[in-house]
Amino acid sequence: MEIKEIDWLDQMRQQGFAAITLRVFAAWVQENAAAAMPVSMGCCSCFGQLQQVGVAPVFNPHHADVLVVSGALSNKAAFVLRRIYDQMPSPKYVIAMGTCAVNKGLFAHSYAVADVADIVPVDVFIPGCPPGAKEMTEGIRALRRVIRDKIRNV
Amino acid sequence: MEAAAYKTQEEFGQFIRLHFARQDIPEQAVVSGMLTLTVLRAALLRILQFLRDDPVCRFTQLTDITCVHYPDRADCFSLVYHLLSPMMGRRLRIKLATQEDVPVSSVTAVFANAAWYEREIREMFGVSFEGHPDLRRLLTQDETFFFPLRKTFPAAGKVRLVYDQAKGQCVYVPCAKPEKESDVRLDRKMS
Amino acid sequence: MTIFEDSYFMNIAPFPAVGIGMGRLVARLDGETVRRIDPHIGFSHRGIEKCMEEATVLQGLVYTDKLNRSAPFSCAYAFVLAVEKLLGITVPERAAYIRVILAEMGRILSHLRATANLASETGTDIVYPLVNRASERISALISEICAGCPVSVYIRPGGVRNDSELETADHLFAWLSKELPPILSDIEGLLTENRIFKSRTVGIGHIDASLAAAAGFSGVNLRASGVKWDLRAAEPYDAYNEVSFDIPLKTDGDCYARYLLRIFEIYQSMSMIRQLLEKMPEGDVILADFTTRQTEVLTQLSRHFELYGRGIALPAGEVYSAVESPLGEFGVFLVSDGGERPYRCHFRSAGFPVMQALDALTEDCDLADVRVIVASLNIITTETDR
Repeated sequence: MEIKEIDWLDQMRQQGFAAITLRVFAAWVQENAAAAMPVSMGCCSCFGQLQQVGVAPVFNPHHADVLVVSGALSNKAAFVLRRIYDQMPSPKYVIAMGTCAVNKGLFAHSYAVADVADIVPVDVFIPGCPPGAKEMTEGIRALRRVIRDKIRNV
Repeated sequence: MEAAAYKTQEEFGQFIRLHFARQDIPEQAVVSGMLTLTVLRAALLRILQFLRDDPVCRFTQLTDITCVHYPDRADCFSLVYHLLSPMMGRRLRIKLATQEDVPVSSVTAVFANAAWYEREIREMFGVSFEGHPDLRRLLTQDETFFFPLRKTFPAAGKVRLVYDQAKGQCVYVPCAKPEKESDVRLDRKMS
Repeated sequence: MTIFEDSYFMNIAPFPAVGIGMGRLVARLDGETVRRIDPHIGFSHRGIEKCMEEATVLQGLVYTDKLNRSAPFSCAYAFVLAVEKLLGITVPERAAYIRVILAEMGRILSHLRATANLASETGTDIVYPLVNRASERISALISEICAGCPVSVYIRPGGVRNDSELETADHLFAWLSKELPPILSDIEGLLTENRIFKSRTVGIGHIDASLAAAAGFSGVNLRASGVKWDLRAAEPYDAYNEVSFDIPLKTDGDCYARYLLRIFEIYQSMSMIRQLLEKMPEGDVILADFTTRQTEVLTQLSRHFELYGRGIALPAGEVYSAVESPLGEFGVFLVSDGGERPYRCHFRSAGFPVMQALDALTEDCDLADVRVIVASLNIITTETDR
């Protein structure tokens, strides 16, 4: 951010306006109105967990800002996951939910399971088998921090 | 009334064997409470057909087909058929030893639900079936070229799936190094 | 094979839309009518059968728990029974009672979730909050019995992990008499005579008895067609021959019959839990050889190493053992070569033959009914794909 711009903002504020840059505004909007698409492959069900922490799920990748991947990702489903991710509009974020999605968990030595981080870039990892409401809330908070930082530091 | 005569599993096994030539069912045993018949490849369809239609047997349901791999045997695959007769409350296991290159006749003509079980065995073990309508891969990706449930295949697999940025698609890459035995596993011989 | 005029393909995926697992149906449509369906499974295939060959019995139990999260204590139960059959041991009576209570609680949970899924597919979303309320309570009660996470290695060879507190029985009684019946009557009031629900389910997804038996159906799906086959009565395991229960039967074989049977079975399960609680015997809950609870600390340590490090040695042999899971017959085929790890462990999943028969079940039905039929069959893809 240029110093000139901030000076101008300060001037506006001194005159009694509430002024922020568009970037900050965009970050605020994004972090508060992210629509999440749940993709549940294994035994964690992210749909109910998302509702618990107050995130509205959408079922269309074109409308989603956040992709929530839960459960062990099998090789067959990995192709599908990547296609879903490719269809999402930018900026997009990915949450890996559950131990299996974080680092393959129990299935670390299985021939059929892929690492989610190898397939799509993951922003937030939420461990737990399955993660409780507390971990989910913590994860959503972490995602908001990620969104804020990413947009402000462009 | 005829069914009542075959009270024990052994007697019932003898009853079934009476209907076939001696070499068709060479072995019979009761393994942990279930009658197990070892059959010849050529007689498999006839035996299953008989077991399904005979009024004493009435094994109308095929519970399961699976396979076990014994790499050190000559006939290295052992196909296991589990049959169930809800009317008689009986279960029966049929075993068939086979090799990789000799196809086994598909039992889809007798039990329709054998189709997917045979697909799975074809995919996981590489046993081929004759007269099967559709032998596509069922559980794994079509591009996979290995038989995961064979004993000679490492559990961790030989390839792993990653997204290739340059190609813009998911590709299989060979595992960097063969996966070692997990550290938590203790020696089997520990006394 | 018939070539359909003006037909086209459509992907129906993912199903179930909510809940666990993932599957895909490729439908051949003629207008709005479904001509053929090709189910594609394997999206939840995690290679559990191969993992089991690498794991000792207690490690393997963790994998079996992951097979079907929506019906706890169904898959692990079958595996434990197979191991016990191989070892030739009988569990203490109290453990057998606790196991059956847990299995029936799991059945109630699974049937309630299946009912909620079916209701939501037919447009009655209001059942979800009701079922969520009930299932949260059941999960809490199960945690109370197991003293921990609901999906834990609680049912294990030789008995159950630990005994529950004294007041747990009172909580269960209170739940059975006060908490669950109002929720059930609410669900029934919403669905059973609901005009829209009936029009979406009666006569839809019909399968007759002989076809269902030949297709390998089991459990509720088979009994809805009129075949009286229940493993709890036909091959009673653990404490099932100590309780009296009815096997509800329907002959219609449609989605509505399957829904009604699930509700009836919930009432049967409730009565079973009540009977078992009333005559719960005293005593140990696990055989001494399979627990670390010893008086001396040193023995405890060495036993701990033996059980959790080396594992329980399985005698050579092969065994098939099946339980009546909420989805149907869940079987385990276990082959052992005498080591601590199974030589081969195959799971006979209840949903596998049902998935295979989807083509026959959805023949010439409307596109909108496909999801209803799938929901009414209660297919859990994590269990189907293994």
